[in-house]
Amino acid sequence: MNAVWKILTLPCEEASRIMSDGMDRALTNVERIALRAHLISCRSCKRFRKQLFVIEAAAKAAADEKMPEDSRERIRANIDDERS
Amino acid sequence: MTCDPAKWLEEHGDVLYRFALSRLRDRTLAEDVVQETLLGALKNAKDFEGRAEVRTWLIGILRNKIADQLRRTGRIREDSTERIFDDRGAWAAAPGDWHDPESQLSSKEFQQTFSDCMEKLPEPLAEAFILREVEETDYEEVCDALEISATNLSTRLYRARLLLRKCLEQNWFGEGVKR
Repeated sequence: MNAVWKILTLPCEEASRIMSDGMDRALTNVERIALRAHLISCRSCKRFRKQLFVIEAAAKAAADEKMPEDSRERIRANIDDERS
Repeated sequence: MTCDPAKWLEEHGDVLYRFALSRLRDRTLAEDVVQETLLGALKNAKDFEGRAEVRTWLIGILRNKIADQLRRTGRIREDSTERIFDDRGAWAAAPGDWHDPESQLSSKEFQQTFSDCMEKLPEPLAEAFILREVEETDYEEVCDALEISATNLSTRLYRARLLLRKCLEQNWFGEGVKR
């Protein structure tokens, strides 16, 4: 009964939480069904779902940044000083 | 554990540097805290004893150095109390229609805006989001590094994503988004 109720009445706040959790773990059957039902009629949450993937892709792109070689050299030199 | 800070620098330098840079937004400060972290790790290597991943251990030290630095410059950010959902759990401001977001991802300006948005996140959310989504660290390892439960991490990631979404909509996709 609880599961049916959840499927029928899922608010956007919970739907968005489930979508966020779905980025990190497998969803339960109830979560999946409730979310699917919610998304049929909710344009805002459908947009949110797409935006989650945009955010994920943007975060991955941010990992291109590397430590500059001159920073690395200075740190290496200071570590050597400290150890000698 | 073989105590080899030069190897730590080699293997984890970029991760530590990115993490520091995204919190401090200053290359000199980022370099400083990474160096302090490695020297601090060298000094305390005997406390480590292989309890965790080296990277997790280094990130733990780095977090403290960053927190000290942020405290010095008075830049600790509190979580916003602004409500994203109303009392019935509906969007307080409905997400707009982002026009062709995939084509923006490679733009330098977009990446800058995204960095600015990450920088505005409150510390606990930023740490969780960067380790998990930028560095793609294992879920359990992020929990270890931040010393939080899996549920707590999922709550932080959720909140971070909501705030990033809002920030991007306001600062990049613009007020002109279709409702």
